[in-house]
Amino acid sequence: MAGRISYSRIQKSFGSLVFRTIPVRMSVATKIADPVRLTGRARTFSPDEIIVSKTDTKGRITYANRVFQRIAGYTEEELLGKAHNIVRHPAMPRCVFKYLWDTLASGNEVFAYVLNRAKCGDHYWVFAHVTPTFDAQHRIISYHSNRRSPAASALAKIEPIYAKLLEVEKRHVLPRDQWAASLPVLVDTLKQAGMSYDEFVFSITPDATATRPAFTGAKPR
Amino acid sequence: MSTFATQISGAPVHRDTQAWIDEAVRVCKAASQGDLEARILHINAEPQLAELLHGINHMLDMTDAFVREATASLEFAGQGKFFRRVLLEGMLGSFRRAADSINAATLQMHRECNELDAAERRRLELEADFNRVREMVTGFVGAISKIEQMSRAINKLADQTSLLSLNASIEAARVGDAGRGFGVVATEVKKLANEAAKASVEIQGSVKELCTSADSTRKAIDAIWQVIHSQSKP
Repeated sequence: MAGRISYSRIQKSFGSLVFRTIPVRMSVATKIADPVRLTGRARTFSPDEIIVSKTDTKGRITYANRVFQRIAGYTEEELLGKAHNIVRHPAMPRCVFKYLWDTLASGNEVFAYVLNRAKCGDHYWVFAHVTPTFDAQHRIISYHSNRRSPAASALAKIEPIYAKLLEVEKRHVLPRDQWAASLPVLVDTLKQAGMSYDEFVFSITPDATATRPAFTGAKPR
Repeated sequence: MSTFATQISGAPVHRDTQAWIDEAVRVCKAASQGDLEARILHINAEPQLAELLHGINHMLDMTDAFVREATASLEFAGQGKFFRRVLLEGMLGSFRRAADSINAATLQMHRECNELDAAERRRLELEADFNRVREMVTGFVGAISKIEQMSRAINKLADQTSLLSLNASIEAARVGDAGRGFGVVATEVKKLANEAAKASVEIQGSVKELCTSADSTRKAIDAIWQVIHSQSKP
Protein backbone atom coordinates (compact mmCIF):
# COMPACT_ATOMS: atom_id res chain seq x y z
CA MET A 1 0.00 0.00 0.00
CA ALA A 2 2.80 2.36 0.97
CA GLY A 3 4.50 1.65 -2.33
CA ARG A 4 1.40 2.63 -4.20
CA ILE A 5 1.06 5.97 -2.40
CA SER A 6 4.64 6.91 -3.07
CA TYR A 7 4.23 5.83 -6.69
CA SER A 8 1.32 8.22 -7.26
CA ARG A 9 3.25 10.93 -5.42
CA ILE A 10 6.28 10.42 -7.62
CA GLN A 11 4.08 10.34 -10.68
CA LYS A 12 2.65 13.75 -9.74
CA SER A 13 6.11 15.21 -9.22
CA PHE A 14 7.95 13.73 -12.20
CA GLY A 15 5.18 12.80 -14.61
CA SER A 16 6.24 10.59 -17.50
CA LEU A 17 9.69 9.95 -16.03
CA VAL A 18 8.20 7.31 -13.73
CA PHE A 19 6.86 5.21 -16.57
CA ARG A 20 10.36 4.09 -17.38
CA THR A 21 11.12 2.87 -13.89
CA ILE A 22 7.87 1.03 -13.16
CA PRO A 23 8.17 -1.80 -15.73
CA VAL A 24 11.61 -2.57 -14.35
CA ARG A 25 10.25 -2.92 -10.84
CA MET A 26 7.44 -5.13 -12.15
CA SER A 27 9.74 -7.52 -13.91
CA VAL A 28 11.85 -7.81 -10.76
CA ALA A 29 8.72 -8.66 -8.76
CA THR A 30 7.73 -11.27 -11.34
CA LYS A 31 11.18 -12.85 -11.30
CA ILE A 32 11.13 -13.22 -7.53
CA ALA A 33 7.70 -14.85 -7.61
CA ASP A 34 8.51 -17.24 -10.47
CA PRO A 35 11.89 -18.88 -10.15
CA VAL A 36 10.85 -21.69 -12.52
CA ARG A 37 11.14 -21.10 -16.23
CA LEU A 38 8.12 -21.88 -18.41
CA THR A 39 8.56 -24.34 -21.25
CA GLY A 40 5.32 -23.50 -23.10
CA ARG A 41 4.62 -27.24 -23.35
CA ALA A 42 1.07 -28.32 -22.47
CA ARG A 43 0.26 -31.44 -20.45
CA THR A 44 -3.09 -33.19 -20.56
CA PHE A 45 -4.83 -36.00 -18.71
CA SER A 46 -7.70 -38.34 -19.51
CA PRO A 47 -11.34 -37.21 -19.06
CA ASP A 48 -11.80 -40.35 -16.95
CA GLU A 49 -9.14 -39.20 -14.48
CA ILE A 50 -9.54 -36.78 -11.60
CA ILE A 51 -6.68 -34.87 -10.01
CA VAL A 52 -7.41 -34.93 -6.28
CA SER A 53 -5.86 -32.93 -3.50
CA LYS A 54 -6.79 -31.96 0.01
CA THR A 55 -5.45 -29.02 1.97
CA ASP A 56 -5.73 -27.79 5.53
CA THR A 57 -7.53 -24.49 6.20
CA LYS A 58 -4.29 -22.60 5.49
CA GLY A 59 -4.05 -24.08 2.00
CA ARG A 60 -1.22 -26.51 2.77
CA ILE A 61 -1.43 -29.80 0.89
CA THR A 62 -2.41 -32.79 3.05
CA TYR A 63 -3.13 -35.24 0.24
CA ALA A 64 -2.24 -35.47 -3.42
CA ASN A 65 -3.39 -38.42 -5.52
CA ARG A 66 -1.22 -40.18 -8.06
CA VAL A 67 -2.78 -38.35 -11.03
CA PHE A 68 -1.80 -35.04 -9.38
CA GLN A 69 1.75 -36.30 -8.78
CA ARG A 70 2.07 -37.50 -12.38
CA ILE A 71 0.68 -34.38 -14.10
CA ALA A 72 2.34 -31.82 -11.81
CA GLY A 73 5.60 -33.80 -11.83
CA TYR A 74 6.09 -33.71 -8.07
CA THR A 75 6.47 -36.62 -5.68
CA GLU A 76 4.11 -37.01 -2.73
CA GLU A 77 6.93 -35.91 -0.40
CA GLU A 78 7.49 -32.74 -2.41
CA LEU A 79 3.80 -31.82 -2.25
CA LEU A 80 2.74 -32.69 1.30
CA GLY A 81 2.86 -29.71 3.64
CA LYS A 82 3.49 -27.24 0.78
CA ALA A 83 1.16 -24.35 -0.06
CA HIS A 84 -1.16 -25.32 -2.90
CA ASN A 85 0.12 -22.41 -4.98
CA ILE A 86 3.20 -24.57 -5.66
CA VAL A 87 1.41 -25.25 -8.99
CA ARG A 88 0.43 -21.61 -9.55
CA HIS A 89 1.05 -20.41 -13.09
CA PRO A 90 2.01 -16.71 -13.56
CA ALA A 91 -0.54 -16.39 -16.40
CA MET A 92 -3.42 -16.97 -13.98
CA PRO A 93 -5.24 -13.79 -12.91
CA ARG A 94 -5.00 -13.29 -9.15
CA CYS A 95 -8.65 -12.23 -8.82
CA VAL A 96 -9.75 -15.78 -9.72
CA PHE A 97 -7.91 -17.13 -6.66
CA LYS A 98 -9.20 -14.26 -4.55
CA TYR A 99 -12.76 -15.15 -5.57
CA LEU A 100 -12.03 -18.86 -5.02
CA TRP A 101 -10.72 -18.47 -1.47
CA ASP A 102 -13.42 -15.95 -0.49
CA THR A 103 -16.13 -18.32 -1.72
CA LEU A 104 -14.57 -21.27 0.12
CA ALA A 105 -14.19 -19.27 3.34
CA SER A 106 -17.92 -18.50 3.21
CA GLY A 107 -18.52 -22.28 3.22
CA ASN A 108 -19.48 -22.69 -0.44
CA GLU A 109 -18.15 -24.87 -3.23
CA VAL A 110 -16.38 -23.13 -6.08
CA PHE A 111 -15.56 -23.94 -9.69
CA ALA A 112 -12.76 -22.47 -11.73
CA TYR A 113 -10.87 -23.08 -14.91
CA VAL A 114 -7.25 -22.94 -13.77
CA LEU A 115 -3.97 -22.95 -15.62
CA ASN A 116 -1.37 -24.76 -13.51
CA ARG A 117 2.37 -25.11 -13.79
CA ALA A 118 4.15 -28.44 -13.52
CA LYS A 119 7.48 -28.70 -11.74
CA CYS A 120 9.44 -28.75 -15.02
CA GLY A 121 7.74 -25.57 -16.30
CA ASP A 122 5.12 -27.29 -18.47
CA HIS A 123 1.55 -26.10 -18.04
CA TYR A 124 -1.79 -27.91 -17.76
CA TRP A 125 -5.37 -26.66 -17.69
CA VAL A 126 -7.85 -28.07 -15.17
CA PHE A 127 -11.51 -27.58 -14.40
CA ALA A 128 -11.27 -27.33 -10.61
CA HIS A 129 -14.08 -28.02 -8.17
CA VAL A 130 -13.10 -27.03 -4.63
CA THR A 131 -15.26 -27.77 -1.60
CA PRO A 132 -14.86 -27.10 2.11
CA THR A 133 -15.06 -30.08 4.47
CA PHE A 134 -16.95 -29.47 7.70
CA ASP A 135 -16.80 -31.06 11.13
CA ALA A 136 -19.91 -31.99 13.14
CA GLN A 137 -20.22 -28.36 14.35
CA HIS A 138 -20.20 -27.20 10.69
CA ARG A 139 -16.78 -25.58 11.05
CA ILE A 140 -14.47 -25.75 8.04
CA ILE A 141 -11.69 -28.22 8.84
CA SER A 142 -10.15 -28.68 5.40
CA TYR A 143 -10.58 -28.17 1.67
CA HIS A 144 -10.92 -30.74 -1.07
CA SER A 145 -10.24 -30.19 -4.74
CA ASN A 146 -11.23 -32.38 -7.69
CA ARG A 147 -9.74 -31.29 -11.00
CA ARG A 148 -11.12 -32.61 -14.25
CA SER A 149 -9.79 -32.43 -17.77
CA PRO A 150 -11.37 -29.29 -19.29
CA ALA A 151 -13.11 -29.20 -22.66
CA ALA A 152 -11.30 -27.25 -25.40
CA SER A 153 -14.51 -25.31 -26.08
CA ALA A 154 -14.59 -24.09 -22.45
CA LEU A 155 -10.93 -23.00 -22.59
CA ALA A 156 -11.60 -21.08 -25.79
CA LYS A 157 -14.19 -19.05 -23.88
CA ILE A 158 -12.26 -18.57 -20.63
CA GLU A 159 -8.85 -17.68 -22.09
CA PRO A 160 -9.86 -14.27 -23.54
CA ILE A 161 -11.47 -13.35 -20.19
CA TYR A 162 -8.32 -14.30 -18.26
CA ALA A 163 -6.20 -12.37 -20.77
CA LYS A 164 -8.33 -9.28 -20.14
CA LEU A 165 -8.05 -9.70 -16.34
CA LEU A 166 -4.31 -10.24 -16.58
CA GLU A 167 -3.96 -7.10 -18.68
CA VAL A 168 -5.63 -5.11 -15.88
CA GLU A 169 -3.44 -6.77 -13.23
CA LYS A 170 -0.26 -5.93 -15.15
CA ARG A 171 -0.85 -2.24 -14.42
CA HIS A 172 -0.24 -2.88 -10.71
CA VAL A 173 2.74 -4.13 -8.76
CA LEU A 174 1.38 -5.49 -5.50
CA PRO A 175 -0.78 -8.65 -5.65
CA ARG A 176 -3.41 -6.95 -3.47
CA ASP A 177 -3.69 -4.04 -5.91
CA GLN A 178 -3.75 -6.49 -8.82
CA TRP A 179 -6.82 -8.43 -7.72
CA ALA A 180 -8.47 -5.29 -6.36
CA ALA A 181 -8.27 -3.85 -9.89
CA SER A 182 -9.25 -6.98 -11.84
CA LEU A 183 -12.05 -8.32 -9.62
CA PRO A 184 -14.49 -5.54 -10.68
CA VAL A 185 -13.65 -6.36 -14.31
CA LEU A 186 -14.62 -10.00 -13.67
CA VAL A 187 -17.83 -8.91 -11.93
CA ASP A 188 -18.62 -6.61 -14.86
CA THR A 189 -18.00 -9.38 -17.41
CA LEU A 190 -20.50 -11.60 -15.55
CA LYS A 191 -22.97 -8.73 -15.35
CA GLN A 192 -22.79 -8.31 -19.11
CA ALA A 193 -23.40 -12.03 -19.54
CA GLY A 194 -26.36 -11.68 -17.15
CA MET A 195 -25.26 -14.67 -15.08
CA SER A 196 -23.91 -15.53 -11.65
CA TYR A 197 -20.33 -16.85 -11.59
CA ASP A 198 -21.52 -20.46 -11.10
CA GLU A 199 -24.07 -20.19 -13.90
CA PHE A 200 -21.44 -18.75 -16.20
CA VAL A 201 -18.97 -21.56 -15.44
CA PHE A 202 -21.65 -24.18 -16.09
CA SER A 203 -22.81 -22.42 -19.25
CA ILE A 204 -19.36 -22.77 -20.84
CA THR A 205 -18.85 -26.33 -19.53
CA PRO A 206 -20.21 -28.82 -22.06
CA ASP A 207 -22.63 -31.38 -20.64
CA ALA A 208 -21.11 -34.84 -20.99
CA THR A 209 -24.63 -36.34 -21.16
CA ALA A 210 -25.20 -34.66 -24.49
CA THR A 211 -22.62 -36.92 -26.11
CA ARG A 212 -24.05 -40.10 -24.62
CA PRO A 213 -27.30 -41.99 -25.24
CA ALA A 214 -30.03 -40.99 -22.79
CA PHE A 215 -30.10 -42.96 -19.56
CA THR A 216 -33.38 -44.81 -19.13
CA GLY A 217 -33.03 -46.19 -15.59
CA ALA A 218 -30.95 -48.61 -13.56
CA LYS A 219 -30.78 -51.99 -15.26
CA PRO A 220 -30.13 -55.07 -13.15
CA ARG A 221 -27.04 -56.87 -14.30
CA MET B 1 -6.81 -35.49 12.78
CA SER B 2 -3.72 -35.26 14.98
CA THR B 3 -2.23 -38.51 13.66
CA PHE B 4 -2.97 -37.24 10.14
CA ALA B 5 -1.12 -33.99 10.88
CA THR B 6 1.98 -35.76 12.18
CA GLN B 7 1.92 -37.98 9.12
CA ILE B 8 2.06 -34.95 6.82
CA SER B 9 4.78 -33.04 8.58
CA GLY B 10 6.85 -36.05 9.61
CA ALA B 11 9.29 -37.86 7.37
CA PRO B 12 8.07 -40.94 5.44
CA VAL B 13 7.37 -43.71 7.92
CA HIS B 14 8.96 -47.11 7.34
CA ARG B 15 6.35 -49.71 8.07
CA ASP B 16 6.42 -53.50 7.84
CA THR B 17 3.69 -55.34 5.96
CA GLN B 18 1.56 -55.77 9.08
CA ALA B 19 1.75 -52.03 9.84
CA TRP B 20 0.64 -51.19 6.27
CA ILE B 21 -2.26 -53.58 6.55
CA ASP B 22 -3.21 -52.04 9.92
CA GLU B 23 -3.13 -48.61 8.29
CA ALA B 24 -5.28 -49.85 5.40
CA VAL B 25 -7.77 -51.36 7.87
CA ARG B 26 -7.93 -48.05 9.77
CA VAL B 27 -8.67 -46.07 6.60
CA CYS B 28 -11.22 -48.61 5.32
CA LYS B 29 -12.96 -48.65 8.71
CA ALA B 30 -13.16 -44.83 8.71
CA ALA B 31 -14.55 -44.88 5.15
CA SER B 32 -17.17 -47.52 6.03
CA GLN B 33 -18.32 -45.21 8.82
CA GLY B 34 -18.77 -42.39 6.31
CA ASP B 35 -15.44 -40.61 6.88
CA LEU B 36 -14.21 -40.17 3.32
CA GLU B 37 -11.37 -37.86 4.39
CA ALA B 38 -8.89 -40.54 5.46
CA ARG B 39 -6.17 -41.56 2.97
CA ILE B 40 -3.03 -43.65 3.19
CA LEU B 41 0.02 -41.37 2.88
CA HIS B 42 3.72 -41.96 2.18
CA ILE B 43 3.12 -45.32 0.54
CA ASN B 44 6.53 -46.97 0.20
CA ALA B 45 5.59 -50.63 0.73
CA GLU B 46 6.64 -53.46 -1.56
CA PRO B 47 5.12 -52.99 -5.09
CA GLN B 48 2.12 -55.35 -4.82
CA LEU B 49 1.11 -54.07 -1.39
CA ALA B 50 1.67 -50.48 -2.56
CA GLU B 51 -0.67 -51.11 -5.49
CA LEU B 52 -3.35 -52.31 -3.06
CA LEU B 53 -2.88 -49.23 -0.84
CA HIS B 54 -3.01 -46.88 -3.85
CA GLY B 55 -6.12 -48.77 -4.98
CA ILE B 56 -7.80 -48.00 -1.65
CA ASN B 57 -6.93 -44.31 -2.02
CA HIS B 58 -8.22 -44.31 -5.61
CA MET B 59 -11.48 -45.99 -4.56
CA LEU B 60 -11.90 -43.36 -1.83
CA ASP B 61 -11.12 -40.51 -4.26
CA MET B 62 -13.81 -41.69 -6.66
CA THR B 63 -16.38 -42.28 -3.91
CA ASP B 64 -15.52 -38.92 -2.34
CA ALA B 65 -15.86 -37.16 -5.71
CA PHE B 66 -19.22 -38.79 -6.36
CA VAL B 67 -20.58 -37.95 -2.90
CA ARG B 68 -19.44 -34.31 -3.19
CA GLU B 69 -20.92 -33.97 -6.67
CA ALA B 70 -24.25 -35.62 -5.81
CA THR B 71 -24.61 -33.60 -2.59
CA ALA B 72 -23.84 -30.29 -4.28
CA SER B 73 -26.16 -30.95 -7.21
CA LEU B 74 -29.10 -31.89 -4.98
CA GLU B 75 -28.43 -29.03 -2.55
CA PHE B 76 -28.50 -26.55 -5.45
CA ALA B 77 -31.64 -28.16 -6.90
CA GLY B 78 -33.25 -27.75 -3.48
CA GLN B 79 -32.57 -24.01 -3.76
CA GLY B 80 -34.07 -23.90 -7.25
CA LYS B 81 -30.64 -23.64 -8.95
CA PHE B 82 -30.95 -26.42 -11.50
CA PHE B 83 -27.87 -25.53 -13.56
CA ARG B 84 -25.65 -27.37 -11.03
CA ARG B 85 -25.60 -30.77 -12.65
CA VAL B 86 -23.38 -33.62 -11.49
CA LEU B 87 -20.11 -33.48 -13.44
CA LEU B 88 -19.77 -36.76 -15.28
CA GLU B 89 -16.05 -36.55 -16.06
CA GLY B 90 -14.19 -39.18 -14.08
CA MET B 91 -17.41 -40.95 -13.07
CA LEU B 92 -17.44 -44.52 -14.31
CA GLY B 93 -19.79 -47.52 -14.07
CA SER B 94 -22.29 -47.33 -11.22
CA PHE B 95 -21.05 -43.85 -10.27
CA ARG B 96 -21.82 -42.73 -13.83
CA ARG B 97 -25.24 -44.36 -13.85
CA ALA B 98 -26.20 -42.80 -10.52
CA ALA B 99 -24.89 -39.41 -11.70
CA ASP B 100 -26.96 -39.75 -14.89
CA SER B 101 -30.04 -40.55 -12.80
CA ILE B 102 -29.52 -37.50 -10.59
CA ASN B 103 -29.02 -35.27 -13.64
CA ALA B 104 -32.16 -36.65 -15.30
CA ALA B 105 -34.12 -36.07 -12.07
CA THR B 106 -32.92 -32.49 -11.58
CA LEU B 107 -33.63 -31.76 -15.26
CA GLN B 108 -37.18 -33.06 -14.75
CA MET B 109 -37.48 -30.97 -11.56
CA HIS B 110 -36.34 -27.94 -13.53
CA ARG B 111 -38.98 -28.55 -16.22
CA GLU B 112 -41.73 -28.99 -13.65
CA CYS B 113 -40.60 -25.90 -11.78
CA ASN B 114 -40.78 -23.91 -15.04
CA GLU B 115 -44.29 -25.26 -15.69
CA LEU B 116 -45.37 -24.28 -12.18
CA ASP B 117 -43.98 -20.79 -12.74
CA ALA B 118 -45.91 -20.50 -16.00
CA ALA B 119 -49.10 -21.70 -14.28
CA GLU B 120 -48.59 -19.15 -11.51
CA ARG B 121 -48.14 -16.41 -14.09
CA ARG B 122 -51.36 -17.49 -15.84
CA ARG B 123 -53.17 -17.56 -12.48
CA LEU B 124 -52.02 -14.02 -11.69
CA GLU B 125 -53.25 -12.84 -15.11
CA LEU B 126 -56.61 -14.52 -14.48
CA GLU B 127 -56.80 -12.89 -11.05
CA ALA B 128 -56.16 -9.48 -12.61
CA ASP B 129 -58.80 -10.13 -15.30
CA PHE B 130 -61.34 -11.13 -12.67
CA ASN B 131 -60.58 -8.04 -10.64
CA ARG B 132 -61.42 -5.94 -13.68
CA VAL B 133 -64.73 -7.83 -14.15
CA ARG B 134 -65.53 -7.28 -10.46
CA GLU B 135 -64.96 -3.56 -10.86
CA MET B 136 -67.14 -3.51 -13.99
CA VAL B 137 -70.02 -5.26 -12.18
CA THR B 138 -69.73 -2.84 -9.26
CA GLY B 139 -69.93 0.06 -11.74
CA PHE B 140 -72.93 -1.60 -13.40
CA VAL B 141 -74.79 -1.90 -10.05
CA GLY B 142 -74.05 1.78 -9.38
CA ALA B 143 -75.49 2.78 -12.78
CA ILE B 144 -78.64 0.71 -12.18
CA SER B 145 -79.31 2.32 -8.82
CA LYS B 146 -79.00 5.73 -10.49
CA ILE B 147 -81.64 4.68 -13.06
CA GLU B 148 -83.87 3.60 -10.19
CA GLN B 149 -83.52 7.00 -8.51
CA MET B 150 -84.31 8.74 -11.77
CA SER B 151 -87.43 6.63 -12.43
CA ARG B 152 -88.62 7.44 -8.90
CA ALA B 153 -88.22 11.15 -9.70
CA ILE B 154 -90.17 10.64 -12.95
CA ASN B 155 -92.94 8.88 -10.99
CA LYS B 156 -93.15 11.78 -8.53
CA LEU B 157 -93.23 14.24 -11.43
CA ALA B 158 -96.06 12.26 -13.10
CA ASP B 159 -98.08 12.28 -9.84
CA GLN B 160 -97.69 16.04 -9.52
CA THR B 161 -98.53 16.56 -13.21
CA SER B 162 -101.63 14.39 -12.76
CA LEU B 163 -102.73 16.48 -9.75
CA LEU B 164 -102.01 19.67 -11.71
CA SER B 165 -104.10 18.48 -14.69
CA LEU B 166 -106.99 17.70 -12.30
CA ASN B 167 -106.82 21.24 -10.99
CA ALA B 168 -106.71 22.56 -14.58
CA SER B 169 -109.84 20.49 -15.47
CA ILE B 170 -111.71 21.97 -12.46
CA GLU B 171 -110.65 25.51 -13.41
CA ALA B 172 -111.66 24.89 -17.05
CA ALA B 173 -115.13 23.60 -15.99
CA ARG B 174 -115.64 26.71 -13.83
CA VAL B 175 -115.29 29.12 -16.77
CA GLY B 176 -117.82 27.17 -18.84
CA ASP B 177 -117.70 27.07 -22.65
CA ALA B 178 -114.70 29.32 -22.89
CA GLY B 179 -112.64 26.76 -20.94
CA ARG B 180 -113.72 23.69 -22.92
CA GLY B 181 -110.64 23.67 -25.13
CA PHE B 182 -108.38 24.06 -22.14
CA GLY B 183 -110.29 21.22 -20.40
CA VAL B 184 -109.44 18.89 -23.33
CA VAL B 185 -105.78 19.83 -23.04
CA ALA B 186 -105.88 19.18 -19.27
CA THR B 187 -107.38 15.72 -19.83
CA GLU B 188 -104.68 14.88 -22.37
CA VAL B 189 -101.98 16.04 -19.96
CA LYS B 190 -103.46 13.77 -17.28
CA LYS B 191 -103.38 10.83 -19.71
CA LEU B 192 -99.75 11.50 -20.48
CA ALA B 193 -98.94 11.80 -16.77
CA ASN B 194 -100.65 8.47 -16.09
CA GLU B 195 -98.68 6.82 -18.90
CA ALA B 196 -95.44 8.28 -17.57
CA ALA B 197 -96.31 6.93 -14.11
CA LYS B 198 -97.07 3.49 -15.55
CA ALA B 199 -93.77 3.48 -17.51
CA SER B 200 -91.75 4.48 -14.48
CA VAL B 201 -93.32 1.66 -12.42
CA GLU B 202 -92.34 -0.75 -15.20
CA ILE B 203 -88.82 0.66 -15.20
CA GLN B 204 -88.62 0.18 -11.44
CA GLY B 205 -89.73 -3.44 -11.83
CA SER B 206 -87.04 -4.10 -14.50
CA VAL B 207 -84.41 -2.31 -12.44
CA LYS B 208 -85.26 -4.52 -9.45
CA GLU B 209 -84.77 -7.62 -11.62
CA LEU B 210 -81.50 -6.21 -12.93
CA CYS B 211 -80.35 -5.49 -9.37
CA THR B 212 -81.10 -9.07 -8.31
CA SER B 213 -79.21 -10.60 -11.25
CA ALA B 214 -76.30 -8.15 -10.87
CA ASP B 215 -76.07 -9.06 -7.21
CA SER B 216 -75.95 -12.81 -7.94
CA THR B 217 -73.38 -12.14 -10.71
CA ARG B 218 -71.22 -10.28 -8.23
CA LYS B 219 -71.56 -13.08 -5.68
CA ALA B 220 -70.60 -15.69 -8.30
CA ILE B 221 -67.57 -13.64 -9.40
CA ASP B 222 -66.51 -13.18 -5.77
CA ALA B 223 -66.72 -16.93 -5.20
CA ILE B 224 -64.57 -17.66 -8.28
CA TRP B 225 -62.11 -14.91 -7.31
CA GLN B 226 -61.74 -16.43 -3.85
CA VAL B 227 -60.85 -19.79 -5.44
CA ILE B 228 -58.26 -18.25 -7.77
CA HIS B 229 -56.84 -16.11 -4.98
CA SER B 230 -56.51 -19.03 -2.54
CA GLN B 231 -54.32 -20.85 -5.12
CA SER B 232 -51.63 -18.21 -4.80
CA LYS B 233 -48.22 -19.39 -3.56
CA PRO B 234 -47.81 -19.15 0.22
